[in-house]
Amino acid sequence: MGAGRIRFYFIQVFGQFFVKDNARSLQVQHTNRIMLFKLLLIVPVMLIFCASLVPLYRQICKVLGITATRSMAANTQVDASRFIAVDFVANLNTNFAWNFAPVEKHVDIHPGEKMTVNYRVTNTLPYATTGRAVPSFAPIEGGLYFNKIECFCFSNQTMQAGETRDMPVTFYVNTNIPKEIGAIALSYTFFNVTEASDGAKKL
Amino acid sequence: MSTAITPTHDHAYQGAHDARDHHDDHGPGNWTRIFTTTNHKDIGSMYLWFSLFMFFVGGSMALLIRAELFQPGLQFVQPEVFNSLTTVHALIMIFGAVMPAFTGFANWLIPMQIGAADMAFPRMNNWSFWLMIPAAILLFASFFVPGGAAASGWTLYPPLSIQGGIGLDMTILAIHILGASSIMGSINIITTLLNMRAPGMTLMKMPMFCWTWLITAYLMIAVMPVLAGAITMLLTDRHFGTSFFNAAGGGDPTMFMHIFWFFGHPEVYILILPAFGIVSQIIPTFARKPLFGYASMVYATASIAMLSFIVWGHHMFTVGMPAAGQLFFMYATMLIAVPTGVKIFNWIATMWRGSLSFETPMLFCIGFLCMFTLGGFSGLVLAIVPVDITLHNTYYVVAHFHYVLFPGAIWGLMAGVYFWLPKFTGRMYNETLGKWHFWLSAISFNITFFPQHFLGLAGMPRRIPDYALQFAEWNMVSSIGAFILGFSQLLFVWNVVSCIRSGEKAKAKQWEGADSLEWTHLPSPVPYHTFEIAPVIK
Ligand code: HEM
Ligand SMILES: [Cu+2]
Repeated sequence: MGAGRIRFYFIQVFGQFFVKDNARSLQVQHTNRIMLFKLLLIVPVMLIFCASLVPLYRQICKVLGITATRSMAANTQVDASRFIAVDFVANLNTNFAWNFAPVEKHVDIHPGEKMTVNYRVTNTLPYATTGRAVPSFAPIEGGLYFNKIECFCFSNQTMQAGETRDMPVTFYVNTNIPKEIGAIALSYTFFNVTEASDGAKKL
Repeated sequence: MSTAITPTHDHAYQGAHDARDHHDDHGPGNWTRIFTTTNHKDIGSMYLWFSLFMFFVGGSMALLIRAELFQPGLQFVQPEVFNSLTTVHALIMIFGAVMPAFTGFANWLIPMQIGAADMAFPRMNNWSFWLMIPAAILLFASFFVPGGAAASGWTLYPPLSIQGGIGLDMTILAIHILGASSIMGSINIITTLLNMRAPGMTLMKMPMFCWTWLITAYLMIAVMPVLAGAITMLLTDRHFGTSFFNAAGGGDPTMFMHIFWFFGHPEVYILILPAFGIVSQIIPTFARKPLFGYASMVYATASIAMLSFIVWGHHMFTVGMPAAGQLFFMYATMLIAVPTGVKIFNWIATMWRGSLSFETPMLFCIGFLCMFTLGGFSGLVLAIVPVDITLHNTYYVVAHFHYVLFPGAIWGLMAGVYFWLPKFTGRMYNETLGKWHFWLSAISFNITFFPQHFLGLAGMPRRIPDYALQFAEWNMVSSIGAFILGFSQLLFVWNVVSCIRSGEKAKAKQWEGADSLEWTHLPSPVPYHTFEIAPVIK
């Protein structure tokens, strides 16, 4: 019995479980069954294809470098040709017993580059206090090109007795900043606003 | 197509037939035979009745949706139920109404049109029908389980589809079963078409309906397993701790969208190609001219099918795809409009200078032509990336796909029913009632869906139970249209039922321009067994 014969019987016998043929002749019946198995084969092939889409998709994205798409695009806003020296200063209003100092005292950044620095603040008083920081710039025009995205000076800060916290400032220097300004000093002064804010709360 | 017929006696076949077929040979009469029948005409009718029923179930859900949207605010259903309604409405219409109806026509017509006695695998045929019943029950029952039916939209996007309750598992199971049923149906159709044609019936002599189904069936076998794979991964994400799409475990929800639409776009062509086939047979009949550009129709259908595999990205322009990807999908999508345009122009050319008459089937085909073209155009608008970025997920998309699906798939089917009912039943439907059905449908369809373009352009999102006040007027118009549209479909049921029960006797060749085998070679109604002896086509 040749291989072809075995195949013929296999298809005849096995095919019987699935189908009742309506063919006009045994030949057609046989070709129908061959076709049935060929077409059924597409199903696992497509299932495997579907499952392989998962790793494939990751690979293709990696190879083509399209993982995070748009946010990956180069930032054309940064002026890499120059640096601005930024100094950070901390002042305390009289009678305000907080410790207040910049963690980094100095950074050099390109105009357009985003940067976050921290000030460390400790309430040395034995009771909760609320403070408000007010910024100032030197030179004063420097402030026009200094854009704060997020700053602890945007709102009142309440510190519990003895609490220490790092307070961030996120900023960038506008690319329009004139050539003559090569350095900016940013100085914060903390004022005690406990009474004012408590009063506001009571109201 | 030639009309000469020479009976041939294939002795092997005759003998085989007597031995094998006697047990299901008892013909019409005993209704319990629906469980065991392997006769293609029985199964075709069962498919058609099933899909008519599902059409009304899905339609009732649509009317509930439109009732809720009649006015701003919440009136009838809670947002969760509303979301389930949009989800299950779509799933029922796609998998329960349109696809089974096409399969019903395939069962009835394909053996007769190629001169075969039955489908290649009649027992599998019976299986593929009966599988749909548990699937439908699962879908209905999911409304009554804790958490309600799937509410993720028919696209089943994670994370919603990962969060849903047991109703979602039931939906996934239902889709698995329906997928298995369509794959079996497709295998049957391909084998029948390729192996069982009568002598002389070459591939390029097949009626267009057979051709479109051959191509659709290949599409189905290719993409149904992909859908099955995707929803299986969803299922394992939900219950077995995998993270294919679950962002919480490092999975990628966008990947689901890619896989889903790799299935989904070919799927929308599965929903339209057989209607192209039906229309391609009806228009020449009532224009009394052969189909213009038969070969180009075949090639256009095949190119649409092949191109449909490389355009899925147009459903996800907004996921943050690189510009190169967007451009690729945009141009590929527009490319599909070319073969589609070829078909539209061929139909128009077929009518050009024909001796036209406007019986109901023809009216539905002309409605199909006009409205489907409009839907194709709004598709082209959506294919333009910068436009789609604003229109994606708005009512404009809803308008687009209803313009291609209602006049496309549903009217194609309606045309087919009116056209072949005299052949199937031996009786004529009521022409006046049919025309009423058409005109009411055509007018109310446009009242329902044309304003949705405006709503979308004005920014109304899809799949919401409530909306901002500026959208109120057009929503009200749309809802009124929807109710007229919904209730006019009852005329259709009435017409079909009274045709079967008391229609006038139909002629063997009811339409003088019809030229496929079921009209030229068979009486009306067609006998229970046809072409047991193969006709020879010259
Ligand atoms: C010229 C032909 C076509 C073009 C250019 C086209 C283009 C598009 C595009 C770009 C979308 C995505 C819109 C979005 O979500 O932002 C879409 C959605 C859709 N199209 Fe088409 N389309 C065409 C034909 C068809 C046909 C023939 C059908 C079905 C019979 C169809 C059914 C759908 C469906 C169901 C959706 C919405 C899917 C969803 O999000 O739920 N379209 N089409
Ligand atoms: Cu698509």
